Amino acid sequence: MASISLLNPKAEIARAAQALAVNISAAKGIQDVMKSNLGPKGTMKMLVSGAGEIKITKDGNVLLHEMQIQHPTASLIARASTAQDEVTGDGTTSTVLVIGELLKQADLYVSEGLHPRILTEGFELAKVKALEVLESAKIPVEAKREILLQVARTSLRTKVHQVLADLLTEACVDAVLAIKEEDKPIDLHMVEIMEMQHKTEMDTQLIRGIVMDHGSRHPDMPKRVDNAYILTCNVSMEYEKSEVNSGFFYKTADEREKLVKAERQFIESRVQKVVDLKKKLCDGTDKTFVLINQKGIDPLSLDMLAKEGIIALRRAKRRNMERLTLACGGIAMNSFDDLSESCLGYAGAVYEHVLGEDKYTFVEDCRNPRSVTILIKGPNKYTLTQTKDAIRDGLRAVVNALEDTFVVPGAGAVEIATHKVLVAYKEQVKGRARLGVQAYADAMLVIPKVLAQNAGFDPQDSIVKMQQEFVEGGPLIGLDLQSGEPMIPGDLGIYDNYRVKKQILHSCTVIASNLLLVDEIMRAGLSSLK
Amino acid sequence: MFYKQKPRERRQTNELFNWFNSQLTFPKSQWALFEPINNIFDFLMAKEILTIQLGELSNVIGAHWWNIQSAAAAVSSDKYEAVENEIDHSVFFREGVSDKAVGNPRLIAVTIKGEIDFPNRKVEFPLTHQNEHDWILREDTAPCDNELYPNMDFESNDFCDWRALLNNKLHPKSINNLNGFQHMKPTETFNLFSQGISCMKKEDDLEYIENQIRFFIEECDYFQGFNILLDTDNGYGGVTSQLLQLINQEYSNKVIYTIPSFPAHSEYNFARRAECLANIGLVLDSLFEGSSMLSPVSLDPLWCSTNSRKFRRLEDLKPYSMYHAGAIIATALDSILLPLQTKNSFFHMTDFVKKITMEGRKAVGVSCAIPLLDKVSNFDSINSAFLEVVPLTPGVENFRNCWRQHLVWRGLSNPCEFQSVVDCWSRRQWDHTMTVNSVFSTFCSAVKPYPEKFLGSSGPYETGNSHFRTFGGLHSSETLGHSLRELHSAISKIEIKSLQRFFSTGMEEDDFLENRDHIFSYAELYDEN
Repeated sequence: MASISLLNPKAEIARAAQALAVNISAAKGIQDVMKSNLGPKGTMKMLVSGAGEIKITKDGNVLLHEMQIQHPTASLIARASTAQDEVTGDGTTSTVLVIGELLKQADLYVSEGLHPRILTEGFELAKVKALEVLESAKIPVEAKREILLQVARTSLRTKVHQVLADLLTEACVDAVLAIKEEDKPIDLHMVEIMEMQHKTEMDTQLIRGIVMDHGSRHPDMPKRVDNAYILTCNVSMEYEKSEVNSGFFYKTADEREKLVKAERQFIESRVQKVVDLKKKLCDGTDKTFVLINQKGIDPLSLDMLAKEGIIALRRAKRRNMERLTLACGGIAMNSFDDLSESCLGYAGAVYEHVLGEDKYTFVEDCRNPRSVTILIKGPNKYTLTQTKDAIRDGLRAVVNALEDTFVVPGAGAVEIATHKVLVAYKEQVKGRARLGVQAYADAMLVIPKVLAQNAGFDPQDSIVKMQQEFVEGGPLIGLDLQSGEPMIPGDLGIYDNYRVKKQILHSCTVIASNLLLVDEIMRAGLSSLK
Repeated sequence: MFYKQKPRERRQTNELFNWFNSQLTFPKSQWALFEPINNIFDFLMAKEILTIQLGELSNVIGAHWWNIQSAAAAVSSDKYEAVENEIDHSVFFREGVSDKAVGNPRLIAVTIKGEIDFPNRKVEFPLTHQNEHDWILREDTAPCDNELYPNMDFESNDFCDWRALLNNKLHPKSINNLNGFQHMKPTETFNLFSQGISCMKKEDDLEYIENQIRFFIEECDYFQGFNILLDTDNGYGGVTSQLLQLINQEYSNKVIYTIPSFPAHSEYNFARRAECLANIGLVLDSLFEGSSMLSPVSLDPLWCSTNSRKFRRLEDLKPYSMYHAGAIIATALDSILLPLQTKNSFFHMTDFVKKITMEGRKAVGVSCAIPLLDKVSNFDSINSAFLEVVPLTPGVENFRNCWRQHLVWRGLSNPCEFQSVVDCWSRRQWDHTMTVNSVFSTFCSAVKPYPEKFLGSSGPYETGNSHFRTFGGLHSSETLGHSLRELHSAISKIEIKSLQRFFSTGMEEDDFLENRDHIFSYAELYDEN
């Protein structure tokens, strides 16, 4: 009788070997689900929601977010993996695989009577050694476009189709390089991602400027202007009902007219200021004027602006205001009191694009855009989300590489090297902890194994070939998924993020050790108050 | 002259006008006399209002309400009568591309992802092709007309999907799912205010909703404000409080009318009751802070009791069914909000709200009569009809000592004549109360799937839809103070220990105690001094 049942007779328990079996089987289960999605040759999963909504993806993070996982252990692993994504933007599937494999390898020894505690000690030793290997494998990047492209390509090819991945790679790298400023952290929010259900995903492109999902609300406003001043502001240009009770008192129709006018005057004077500035700067030249307002503009004001040929957009997104000034220059105005040319931004072209019910406004050809837009196109909703998820990961990969200033060879090369080093290291470890090191070393191989398997090659065969090719001190050897032959990843430009690998080693070891050390599972927490 | 009243003067003027009105011997609408025309622009403009629904009950209420609304719109586009001119549907509806007559609701509905993917939660999703339908129809697809559920029995079903109830086509941007919550804890229920807050803080949901709101407002020429329906007894309260902060920031001088609601329960788990009360307290606090006016509604006569309101003429009412409760509240709301929709009224939303909420008394009571007695013409009949008026505000038995109230009578054949009668009657009834009566000839129109049993003598909808008279009232009354006090004492009785779950999801104990004091100070606003 477990002692917990004295405290709480309703408690459900699983003890010792049984508890471990529960954890290990859950980890294996989730590993099995995710296994086929790893790498550029991985297959897709189709998720159908309760409402019949379809999502096709092989992005581990998306999968884990969308799937309902009921097993507590499995959901713990899933959460650890999605945390991995939050930190580094990649490596979710690998995390799941490595945790699963660590437990699987540990299971072999535990079933032969080894105490889990000793295994975890071995894990800890192995982790330190593995990090050393990783450290020695890293290659410095000097913000060169070429190597950034390779990192982004490696990440993107695991998410989407190869041809699309190559297209997105360019977009992601250029976007990040555009917004990058010396000595400042990169703010990915400054890359706007805009979706447009139109054409195919291959028409996705990088716009060096801003795309807004609304258009002007006046039929007379021009649909396209070139060489434009951009005024961004946050000033209300609509009639607002006054807060307190107010009323008009008048005797004659004349008087009423006057009152109405006076009410209107207030707004009109604001609009007039914009019109005056436009007249001063643009009349007689080929320049044009665009007003982008975060607040509303009512039809009467729109009319005044339209008469002057000004394009006016109302209710712009809050975040776009910041982006606009970064892209076009100028200052976001909160009042029209001191308007001058220096407050204005510039764009080479501003035009409207109408798609069915939706209107889009493009602000392009900016002089030195520090905020850009990636315009995702796709024929349907799910392609759009798929592309969007991929782009997000691609951007993260580029930023990671820039921030780390290091990358590591991909294609399973690091894992092969780690395995070799760990096996050698095992000899130096005293006592049974070396079994833990051995288990850790074997678990590392899961990545190249699954990569080979997904590409249609024999896992053992590929591993052996790679191990034969690899000599300590020599270049790291990865697997060429096209030919199934060993190769040097650097030659093919396959690089992974350093921090992703590092994070995987850290978090997988911790979680696997924690799960191993569990000797009792009880469902006796404070009863949820339902 | 542009006339603005300062708050202190306002009170004196009120007294003056009360006196002035009492001297009048001929019946005339009081406020019409007070303010001949508020603003000339009010006549010219469509005055768009954006409705936001958060939570299960609110969405059911909303679904019923949109049904009633669109039924009315269909009537007015059919017949070219006087009826047609009374209501301006562009207030709540945006113009659809395909369906000019009705358009689709200017609505943002927020739910938890996957929560109500199915009308009955027990149904698993079978992977067969019959079930592949798009629930949210785009404008270019054919109307669904409940053909998905030919035999959907809302009556017997404890739970109902609001999207199955709804007859309207929604714009795809109207549906918002909260992804944040599920990601955090897939197995937990969304029961706590603090869960709502942390859920909005973590994910991009708030930004997503913000963008949808912006989408709907961008197309409005003369946007006047928000109607927000929300569930108070669960996590949606927290969601709303975050949303209100955002709205106040972005649309600072727009009116926000919030309608917090919670379902009546036939049995109550003690622990759950404590949570509900705490939720309600927290929500009301944030609503007092963030909205222009709020009217709590529920079929529960008290704050979280096990009773329910009785409607004399609705014997078949099942108050614990969300479907029925939703229909009742929706009908009441429809009447109350009617003055905002009239083509020739002086009710800008600002006036509508400011006239009832004076001196910080933002909470107002709601009452309704469904259906209103058929024959109301003279004082006696109004008196007897008024006996059937039931308050929908929790903690209120009847509205005593009102400062201000707004009564809506609809479905009367001769509005002008009745207006004078009822104005006179209300002055005799309450001599210290500023009463506005709005009388409309438009009936309340019910279509399937409105509960058929409620229609009573006016018959089932064989003729397409059926009409009935209703009454709705908004009251700013002393009783609301009592009600808030009751809530305060109920919350005070909760042991802090039983709210552990709140504290584990990111709330501080001090915040909770502070909130309790806030409720009390709101109650004090209603003291007569």
